[in-house]
Amino acid sequence: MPKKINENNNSEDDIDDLGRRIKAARGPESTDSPKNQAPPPNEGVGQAMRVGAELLSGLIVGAGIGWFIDGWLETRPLFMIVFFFLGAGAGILNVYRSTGLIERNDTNHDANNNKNTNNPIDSKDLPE
Amino acid sequence: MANPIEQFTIRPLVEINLGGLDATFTNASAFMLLTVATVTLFLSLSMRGRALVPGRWQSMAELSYEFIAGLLRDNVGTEGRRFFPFVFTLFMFILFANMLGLMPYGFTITSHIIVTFVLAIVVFIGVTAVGIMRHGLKFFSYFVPSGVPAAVLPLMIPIEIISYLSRPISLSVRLFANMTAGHIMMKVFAGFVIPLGIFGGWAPLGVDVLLVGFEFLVAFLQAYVFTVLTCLYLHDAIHLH
Amino acid sequence: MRVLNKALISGLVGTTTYLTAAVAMAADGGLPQLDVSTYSSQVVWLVISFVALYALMSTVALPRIGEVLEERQNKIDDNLAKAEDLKAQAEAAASAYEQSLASARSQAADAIREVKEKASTEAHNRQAKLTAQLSESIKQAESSINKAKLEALSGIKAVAVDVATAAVSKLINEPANENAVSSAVSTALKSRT
Repeated sequence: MPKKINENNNSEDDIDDLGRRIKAARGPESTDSPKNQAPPPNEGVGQAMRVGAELLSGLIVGAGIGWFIDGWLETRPLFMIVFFFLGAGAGILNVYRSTGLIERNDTNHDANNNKNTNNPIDSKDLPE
Repeated sequence: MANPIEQFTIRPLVEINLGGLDATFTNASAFMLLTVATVTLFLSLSMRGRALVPGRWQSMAELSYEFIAGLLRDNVGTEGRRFFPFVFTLFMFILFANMLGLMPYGFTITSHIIVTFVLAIVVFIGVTAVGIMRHGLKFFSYFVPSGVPAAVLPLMIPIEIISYLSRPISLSVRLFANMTAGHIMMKVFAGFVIPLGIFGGWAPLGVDVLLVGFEFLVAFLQAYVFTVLTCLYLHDAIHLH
Repeated sequence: MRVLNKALISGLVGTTTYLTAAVAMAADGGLPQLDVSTYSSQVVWLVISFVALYALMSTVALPRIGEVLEERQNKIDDNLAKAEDLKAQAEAAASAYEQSLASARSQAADAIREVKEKASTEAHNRQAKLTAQLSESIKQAESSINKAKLEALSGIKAVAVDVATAAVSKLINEPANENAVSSAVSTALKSRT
């Protein structure tokens, strides 16, 4: 009697093993939600160049807009200065966003790629 | 010592004038066509066998396909599927253009700001158009960041707008600067080899060898970053507003 | 906080590098990239090549790769589905085997139980019969013993009466009263048994 019981368990084990291998072969379930991957910031020179580009482009766009408005309203160099600083702010914003320090302007995911539930009141909307 | 800037000059090869529009065929144009040809040849020849168990070349072609498909899926989700040919073309174009510039006597088309700017502007306008077409005027709510007290908004909104407008600039400057700087450095160190003679010339030569290796990495990385950011901007346009 | 500043500093460093490089190169006398006269041709040919590449990719290369990938995925899915089928079949066979084994075992147990029961009831019956027979015999034996005892006792009584009469007559030199002698003998016998 006991011998027969062991034989049964072996065939069950084999079947379970097969089931597990099938599941592994199917691969992980693909989910629909996009995972935000920030582009790699990492090492020194690379980061300096990338981040410098962000900062510089903010300045350029700011100064550019200011220049155009000045040309239009003939208030040179007033708006250029104003927008230069705004552009600096934008550039700094870009830098922080691209290095992942500030959440991107995203109400559905935070910087840690946690999907926020669609609560009308978000914890970050509460006054600090 | 060689002039490190001279390598970027555009040399006209065939003068063509399309009714006032200058369309001369230059060395830059030649390398653009070469890029297209190389990408197409690589992909079509690798896939010629259509084997179920892929060989080396076919694996590489399939890898590039799945790499971009994965990027789109991860950053945009399943709606990104329709942009796949564009993003794939963008990535392969920039990647092969960067790489071809590293070949001996190669010309780096992406080291010209106008080229990178056109690519970036196309992406920018395209993504903005997608956003506006999808969300209508609500698209502009993107510029109102959440969680900001109302008093700061008049300051934050222009900054957000400027930040958004700076995207094509940063995209183009980043690629252009990386390529130009890399090639200038390689040329400068190469220029030191002969003048330092048989004894001293080995140092800059060694540096140059390392630089070339590094520049291959940068070539891939910059193509990747350009593409990933495109996907990210697409995600912003599609999902946020 | 320190990380924030580090990012900003690297940003400032990068920006200054760009600006100084740009100024240096511009002062050098013309960076070819800034030569606007080349822009038109570059843009034209860029558009031509990019559009050509896009057309080639979307019509030739990507569908081809997509097909191969899909075919492979289908084949894998097919094989996996078949494997699952076979696994289900194996499971069914295993459970059927186990079932028949279990039912055979229970049948055997039932049969054994029946036989045991029958045997035990038979044994019971036989035992009961035997016990009954034995008690019958015992009763008969007891009754015959009693009869014999009674006979013997009555025989003893007659002999005892005779002997007692003879003795008494001898003793009193007269014929004894039979009734008196027999009742005396009965009393004496009773006190002895």
